[in-house]
Amino acid sequence: MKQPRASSMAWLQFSRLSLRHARKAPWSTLALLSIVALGVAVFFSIRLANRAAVQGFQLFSTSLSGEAEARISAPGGSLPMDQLPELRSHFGSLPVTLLPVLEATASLPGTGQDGDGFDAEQVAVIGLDLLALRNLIYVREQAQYEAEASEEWARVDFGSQTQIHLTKALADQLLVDTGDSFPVILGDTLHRLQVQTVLHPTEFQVGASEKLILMDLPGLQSVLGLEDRVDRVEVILPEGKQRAALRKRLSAALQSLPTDRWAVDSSGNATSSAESMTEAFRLNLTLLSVLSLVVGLYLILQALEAAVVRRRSEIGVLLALGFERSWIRRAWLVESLVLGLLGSSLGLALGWLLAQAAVQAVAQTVNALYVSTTAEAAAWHSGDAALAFAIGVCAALLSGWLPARDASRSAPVQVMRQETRGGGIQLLDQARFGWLCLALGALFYPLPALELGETLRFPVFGYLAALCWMIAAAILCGHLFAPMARALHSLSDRSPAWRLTLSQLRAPTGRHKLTVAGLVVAVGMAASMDILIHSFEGSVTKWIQHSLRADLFIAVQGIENASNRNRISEETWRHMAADPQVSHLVVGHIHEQAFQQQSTFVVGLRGTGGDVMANFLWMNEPPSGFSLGDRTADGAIQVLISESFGNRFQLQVGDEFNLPSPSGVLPLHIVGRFADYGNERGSVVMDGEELSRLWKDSRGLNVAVTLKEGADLGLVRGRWMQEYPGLAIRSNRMLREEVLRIFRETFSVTHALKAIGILVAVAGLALALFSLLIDRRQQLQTLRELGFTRKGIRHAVSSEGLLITMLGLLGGLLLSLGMGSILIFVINRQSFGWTLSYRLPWWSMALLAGGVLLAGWVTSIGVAQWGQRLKGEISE
Amino acid sequence: MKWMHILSFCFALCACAEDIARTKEGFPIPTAKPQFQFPRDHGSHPEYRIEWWYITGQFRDEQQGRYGFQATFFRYALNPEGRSRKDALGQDQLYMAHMAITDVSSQRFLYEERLNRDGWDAHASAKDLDVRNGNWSLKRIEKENMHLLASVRDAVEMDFMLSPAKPKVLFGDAGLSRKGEAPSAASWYITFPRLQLSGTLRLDGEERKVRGEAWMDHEISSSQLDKHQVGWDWISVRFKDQTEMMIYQLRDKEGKSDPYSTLAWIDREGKVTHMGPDQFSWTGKGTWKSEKTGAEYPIDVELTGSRPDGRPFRFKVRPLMRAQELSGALGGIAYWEGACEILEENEVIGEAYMELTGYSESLGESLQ
Repeated sequence: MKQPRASSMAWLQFSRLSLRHARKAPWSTLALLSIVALGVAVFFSIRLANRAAVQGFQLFSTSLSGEAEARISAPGGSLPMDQLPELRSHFGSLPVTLLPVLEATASLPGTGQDGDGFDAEQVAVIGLDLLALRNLIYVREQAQYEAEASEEWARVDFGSQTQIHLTKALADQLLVDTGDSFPVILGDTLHRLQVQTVLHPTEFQVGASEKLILMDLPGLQSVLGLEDRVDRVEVILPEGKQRAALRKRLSAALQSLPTDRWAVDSSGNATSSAESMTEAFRLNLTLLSVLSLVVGLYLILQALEAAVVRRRSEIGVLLALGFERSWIRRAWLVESLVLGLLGSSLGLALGWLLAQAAVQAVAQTVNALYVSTTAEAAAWHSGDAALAFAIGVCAALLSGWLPARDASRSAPVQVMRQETRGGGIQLLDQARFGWLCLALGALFYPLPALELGETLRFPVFGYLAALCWMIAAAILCGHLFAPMARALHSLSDRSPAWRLTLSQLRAPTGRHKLTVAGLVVAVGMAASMDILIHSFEGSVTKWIQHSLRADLFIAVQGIENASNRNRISEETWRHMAADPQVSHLVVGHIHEQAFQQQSTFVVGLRGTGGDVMANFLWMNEPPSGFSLGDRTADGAIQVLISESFGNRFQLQVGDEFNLPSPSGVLPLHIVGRFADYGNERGSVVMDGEELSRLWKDSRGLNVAVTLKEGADLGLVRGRWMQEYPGLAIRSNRMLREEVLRIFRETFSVTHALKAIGILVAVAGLALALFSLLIDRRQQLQTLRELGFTRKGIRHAVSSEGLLITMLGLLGGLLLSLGMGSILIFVINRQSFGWTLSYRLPWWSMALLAGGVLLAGWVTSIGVAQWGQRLKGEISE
Repeated sequence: MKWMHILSFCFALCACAEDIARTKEGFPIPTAKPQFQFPRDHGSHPEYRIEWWYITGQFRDEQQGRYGFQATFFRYALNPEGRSRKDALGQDQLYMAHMAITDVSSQRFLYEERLNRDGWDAHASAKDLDVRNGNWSLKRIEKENMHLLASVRDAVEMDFMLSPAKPKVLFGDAGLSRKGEAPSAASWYITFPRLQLSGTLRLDGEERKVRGEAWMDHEISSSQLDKHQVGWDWISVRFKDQTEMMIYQLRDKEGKSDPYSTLAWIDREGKVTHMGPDQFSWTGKGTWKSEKTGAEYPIDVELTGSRPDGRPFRFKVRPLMRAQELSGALGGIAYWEGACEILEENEVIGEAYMELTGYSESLGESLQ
């Protein structure tokens, strides 16, 4: 037969083959579109939400100064201003504006959920030289600056410790205006700040939703007790045609700065440090969303494959008429492409909406673990949209390819006689491939993480092992139908319906195998997440029990993450130590520290009694008799490191390394390693007194107080709360609850992903049962004519669905044991550097099993209800 | 402390002296003949309220491109104790600076202002000439040679050596220059009337060698003007015959010339001859109105009078560009300061820099 021309046939093949079916079965088509859309939406929304959460964190001065070319800080601790003239000389005549910045956080008393000040709302307080800031009007384009020279703003009260300028968004929230005053906690004390100016949203490019307070730099330095010290210097170039050329010269100047004294971040993007901080978290989140997409794609594959089967006779006719197999294959691929395009478009819209909801959950996590974020809404991001769209379309094409290949390979006579294997992809029949995947997974399991650049280690082999085991479980479970049917043989005697059910399972079709594979993957993924979270919680609880032994824990108000810059003054903690009710206390000093181009922490512990070392959960205990402050024979400071620090920097007990500090480079010797689930960036611990001296800062981040025997904890706490309104003072129990609350917030996103996975898998079950019934409609008609009641058919179909669900559940739970192990011992360890103890969440897994069974059963009953009325002549 | 107001005061008004020696705020007033000690007196005098180092000049590049420039460093004391440099961001001294360049061939005028507190990024040494504000600096390097580093926005960088072609001169009574009736309206006035300029100009990314001449004033006071004075017109002229002239005309609220207005001639040997307002006249012949500030400046000027030898003169001041206004976005005072040339009988006989202040509406208001 003469082949139709491709150009003229494109529309014909699509309209006759695909569009006609879409019109005849709109619900089925809609379901397919929804599946693609859901997959794309999950992926897209997670990325958007995550982006919003990370971008919500800002170095707020960026808003005021425009984009800085670089940020210069000390390698560790704060930067003494007496070093700044040297910096100015270094740049010579280069027209750079150097803007010193001191950042603090102010907590707003009376906000937060529990009222103890722990989660009081925080606002960034930026200390800038407000007079010098005005010079920036000449750094910007000529057209802008004149308009911004507002008279009101110009009336700066130099060095004031109370006069502030605040953004409109914050003024609206606090219901204050120019001249009003309001209380905040700054440092560890309560201050009353007076509004001198409410910054107009356009003034100095401050965003409309940003909540921040501006103070003159010397004023904030005085309030915080940090005279002549700043956090960093922003380097700003003037705008204009010569900016690119100036940037080159600046870059050369920055590179020649001695690295032992200056840390330069010339990324040009204020959020980059936050991004690198949350890199591992984002990577894992993205992969979780990809997993959801994979489960969604499985459904597309299943649905398209079912469509091939339903249209076999049509394909047979086309083949018999002489249409080439490639034409048939192309027709299916075109259908997949259209499905992918439409579904992905829908997915982007849905994803954007989902992102608005997800952003809060992700922001909570980022808030709890890393930095304060002000994310409230996720903005559209074209790059992410393009990626999600491309993934959706490619995945739909990939999903269409296997059924298309099946369709085009079948012999015309065979397909016209409906002699099929009952659908499903041939791969699932290959038990040997399943075993091979299982073995490959075991092979990948012990391999180390892949180094991606200097700051990111990617557990690629862990993910490959998980993928292999998922495929293995999906394939091998399909081969358990026959053994299951044999095991349940005794049920055959009970009723004809059971006999019918078991006969179906004894010779399972490809669709049976595909359905159970989907369930196995979804349940496996969900349960393994449960195992990870439960193991994490168990390890954290154990760590808390070991580490948090004191009676009272004191910190400044607000969230205790790296971005909270408030500290407890030496005067305050010494005053507490002198309290007659106090037996002893331990002050924790902490500084963010650059080490090997990465951000980590250096911690100092200073005890006034008791055993400071007793609070560590050891992985490698230091030699007996060691105490913080000891030095080696050659003068190196003996330190302890956290497990994360060791893993990140490939250091272990016995190693020596050099750490830059404000007092020069320090030789350190590692004598012990401890578990720390508090931060993934790792920490080096040394004697607090030594740290204060070297870092020139005696303020503490927190204080753990042990009271004398017989002291009334409630009374002491109440008294101190009166005395120190700027401090959050919690009992041991309160702090433990708080840590666990943060921990749960951290995983709030994963629960949503888990639910989506299960939802998709159950939808797959329904789709598969529908298809099975349609395939068997003639058989059902015959059975009814032979006297099989509708109730019997309903029973047979629902039992079949339930048994498929049970098999999928069983396989999924088994898979989760292995996947959980990969997540805990491989992926989590390689990403975060934490070792967790493996714990099975019996209750949660039982609930999951019950939920899946219930959903499977209800779905099966629903389909069975529909199936009992199915007539032989009904086509779809 | 409202700095905008302070700066207005700084440049214009409010002598408020209660006694001869000090202003009401306690700042010392230049009175008796000064006993200068150089190079120390080229440096800062932080106990006095106001001080500036003011360089204006003209130069050409190797392609004969013609330019005018202004580099001004101001210091203003916020308290009479005259403390200098204690903290990284001190509260006692303010430093303002203005940089401007006039590219005559392309008729482009660029300027930039800067205001900083005394401290890590702005300072003036009290021991010698060493003043800086951000990346701008002026420093004595040897003898009385000076090194100027300056920039204007992204387009201009200047690296100039300035060497006196003539010795410095002291205006007024051996350096004590009276500006008004009030005892406090006086300054110490030291000038290098002709500096040889050489160095490099980086303009729009292109570096070019330049040569030219400049004028530098160094004035120290605690209150420059009298209460009734609202502004001044000032011009410095370097004639081709190696003599110089400087005029300041102080104007009152009615626009009349103040009796303390002065013309100073400097002969080839550096000898200064002062003349009072009855011996010269400054007449505006044409104006230029600023779109930015609304101020109307009499930039076409005719100067008449007599020379020290009694010969009359009639000079025409011709600006090399009309729009040479600094809008005062930071300092709050707009003024016109621009490169000009001097003509006599339609022949160019010298280069000049002219300054016209007190013509913007905002300045008039702030002077009240």
